Amino acid sequence: MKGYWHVPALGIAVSFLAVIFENIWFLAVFFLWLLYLYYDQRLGKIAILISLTCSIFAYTYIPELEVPQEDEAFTSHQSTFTGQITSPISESEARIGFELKDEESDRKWLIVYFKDDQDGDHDLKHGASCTIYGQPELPEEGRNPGQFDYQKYLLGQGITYQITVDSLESLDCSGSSFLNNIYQLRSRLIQFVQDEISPETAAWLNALVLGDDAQIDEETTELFQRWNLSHILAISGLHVGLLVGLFYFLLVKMNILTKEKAQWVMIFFLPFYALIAGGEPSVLRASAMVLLFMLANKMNWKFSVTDVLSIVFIMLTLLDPYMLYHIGFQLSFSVTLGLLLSKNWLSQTSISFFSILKISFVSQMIILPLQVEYFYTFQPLSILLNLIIVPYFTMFVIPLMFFMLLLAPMAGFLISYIDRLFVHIHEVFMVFIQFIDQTLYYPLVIGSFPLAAAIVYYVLFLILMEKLERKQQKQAFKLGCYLTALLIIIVIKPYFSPTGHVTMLDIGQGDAIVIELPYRKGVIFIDAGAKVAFDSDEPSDNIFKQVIQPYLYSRGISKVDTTFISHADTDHMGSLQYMAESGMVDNVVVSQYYAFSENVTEVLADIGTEVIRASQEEAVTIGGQTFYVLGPIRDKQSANENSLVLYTAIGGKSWLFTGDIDSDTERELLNRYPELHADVLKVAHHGSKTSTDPVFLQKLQPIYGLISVGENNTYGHPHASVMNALKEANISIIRTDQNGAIQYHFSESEGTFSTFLP
Amino acid sequence: MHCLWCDADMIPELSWKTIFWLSRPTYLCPPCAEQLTILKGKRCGKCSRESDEEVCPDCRWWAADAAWDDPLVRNYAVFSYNDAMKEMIAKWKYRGDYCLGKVFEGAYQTAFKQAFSFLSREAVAVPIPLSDERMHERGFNQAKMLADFLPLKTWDILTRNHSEKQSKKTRRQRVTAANPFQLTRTVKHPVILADDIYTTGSTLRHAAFVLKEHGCPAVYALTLIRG
Repeated sequence: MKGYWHVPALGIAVSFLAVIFENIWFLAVFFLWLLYLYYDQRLGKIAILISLTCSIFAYTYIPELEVPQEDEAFTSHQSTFTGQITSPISESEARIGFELKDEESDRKWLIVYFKDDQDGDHDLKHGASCTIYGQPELPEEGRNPGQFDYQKYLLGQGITYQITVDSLESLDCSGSSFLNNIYQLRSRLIQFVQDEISPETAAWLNALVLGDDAQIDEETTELFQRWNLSHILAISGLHVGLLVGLFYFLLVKMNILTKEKAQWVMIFFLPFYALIAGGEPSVLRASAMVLLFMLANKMNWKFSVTDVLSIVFIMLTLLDPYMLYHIGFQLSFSVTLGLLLSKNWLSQTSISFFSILKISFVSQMIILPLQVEYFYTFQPLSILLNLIIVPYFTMFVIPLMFFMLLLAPMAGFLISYIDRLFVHIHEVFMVFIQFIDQTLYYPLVIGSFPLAAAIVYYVLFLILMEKLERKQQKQAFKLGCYLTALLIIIVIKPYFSPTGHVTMLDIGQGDAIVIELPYRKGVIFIDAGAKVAFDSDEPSDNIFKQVIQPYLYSRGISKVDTTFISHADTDHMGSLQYMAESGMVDNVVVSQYYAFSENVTEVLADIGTEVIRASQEEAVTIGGQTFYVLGPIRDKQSANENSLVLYTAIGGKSWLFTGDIDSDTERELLNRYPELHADVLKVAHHGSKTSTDPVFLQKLQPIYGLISVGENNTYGHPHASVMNALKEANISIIRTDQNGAIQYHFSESEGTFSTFLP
Repeated sequence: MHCLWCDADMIPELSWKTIFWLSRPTYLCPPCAEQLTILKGKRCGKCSRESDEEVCPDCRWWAADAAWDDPLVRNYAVFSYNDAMKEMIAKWKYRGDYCLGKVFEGAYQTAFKQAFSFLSREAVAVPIPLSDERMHERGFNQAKMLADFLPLKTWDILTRNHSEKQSKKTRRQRVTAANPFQLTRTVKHPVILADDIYTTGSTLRHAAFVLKEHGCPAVYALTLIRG
């Protein structure tokens, strides 16, 4: 079996694919492969049997993520739950959260408590037995294509319901587990670092040594994510290897322990460190691997590194099959496997620059489809940026951080000196990266990686690596070209698609409508609303970051040709500045009477976005799609009433986009255009009773009424009278508060509506 | 898997080349395998002896002997005979380490593909037999083991009179000895004789002679070693 453990591990991975894609063919191909290996005498009976067992067992053992039907009887009232705390307590400024394993049902709940200023200290501990009184509810689901789905995310951890607790008194817990001591030590260490060391350094130390990146500002986290550098922030083999090396060196060289004893110390210390560092899959993987190496060394076992990786993979998935759904787990194992398989290829160069380049190449290429599926974009230049960043962190930052944590308790004066030095160097470094980010950030916005394309990708990549290993450079070059061609095909696919889409995004109370023309002839926005930030009157970037950008990226769109803004309310234009700042907006079309705020004017001028003022009767054509401006007819001295009214024909239907106009303006519109008719009406002002007059409906004769309105909004939109009027006029109503994003998929002369939520 | 020769633990290295097309298990560790030398350079087209000439003097001598009318079309050999090989053969053949024979399987098969791919699937592998006494002594026939490695039917159709070991005889004694082989059934297909070593070629020619005499169309030989 030695040297062949990767076969059962692959069996488990294949079963996972069979489960998530609900396609048994994955297993069939795996079995055929085993059959071939057996008949060609490449693999013995025992290995075949173990592999078969592993894959079949995994197929039944790996849970499918099924969104549960909401159990109304369960979620309608608060109840009492008893069980045990099975996760560390995660605490931020605003909330406390932990997992509770229900005693009766054996199911896991996520318990959430939103903090109050008057709260005292809580006494929650890992392993405690608790009685909890709270409100069970389904976690928030993703409401738009491309949006992060918290419900799915929790399902991937085996959690179906979250239970919100009103006050700390509703949590009655006692006892704790042994692990609790470690978790508490971890929080104390994190606190200690924050107290003793400057905040700039503390953030990095806590992230790189203790696995807590909460103090690293969001901007940096996003920067690292944009450049595929997040692997540096996740504690992995790099960190664990350095830690072990450092400790071993100190213990042995300073004559504290013999080599023998130092090894035993490391073997017992590693599991402890894995937990101190936060217990993320990448830490577990790395620590378990290093641990197995050292044990094998002690026992004089010969082993292959891929076997160690495979055995750790098998053990972790058996321990917790949900781990397979964890992005970090998938990335960590893929990259490690890729690098181990490239050992021969890597050793063909002795120049370290090229080795690092090769390492960077393999690590980025092997996760490319995953990267695109999860983050929609791929940054080819990140392969080069890694060349600078990885050595900087491995040779300088990470060892320094370990040293600082070691020295902090004993040599305070030294620390403050090192601390200041690090802050200076690191600042220069960050400025450098930000400079690169600003000048060179041209990501490939790919959107999605279809399964078939991913399979072709991996087959080509496998052959490419094999050719490289065999030093068949010409063949390798050919395969590199095929791979590039494949990526290009995926990127340009929308330009060959005859289907267009109109998407009314669910941004809560507000409008954001995207029109994607067939053959990607144009991408047009009608309004781009936002929510008002809690702490100011300014629009927040939440909607842009969580809904608009993910949607566009998931569609492979990085540029909007034209953005119509109906009027100057935040719920219709709040995200415009963020779209403009990220370079998405080419030009903005507004009415004659639109008044830009100073802030927005500045942003648009800065970026050089063209602002077009369209007057009534004008027609705006984008990619062959003509929008007729029907209003505002005259200046009505009110933002809502001055809304841009747009008429266009899409996919065999006529559409009327009305912004927030009121009944008066509707009437004026009818007077001006007595023959006006529209199949699809964007119901004005989120269904407010001040708009959508029955007479207007009667004249317009729409078939569909689309309402963009926030769930449980405070305005009481859509108003009952409007709903009645729509129903009486026999109009099919589709609402974002009930259905999430509304989409119309069309070809030249016809189309169908669909909603994101069932 | 342990090396069948030095017993070192062998673990196959996984790389892009081998992750899906797992390399076949090898029975020798790389250092041991290196000690055996596969015949590569120019060789006698007839007997596989390393030689710059098309046909070596030895084979010219066989061909010239009208009494023989050389019954063997060609012998192909895999390895040259060096010290490591000598020791391995001794352990395998004389000290009864049957399993050690597997060490040669891969190379023997490859050589067959290289030299005899032109033969039809009808061809038969015929091992050079041991006499009953010798068989009793050793417990297995190393030539039969080799014949079984080939993707052909093995016909164990030769029998052999007991005589002194070939290795104890001189060249003259070998060449002039009476033919020790008999045939138990005739064969109308081409035959590949399997044996461990070609030294003077007389054993193989004796066997080939008997086969030809009973109507076999052509006799080739594939030996592990050219002595």
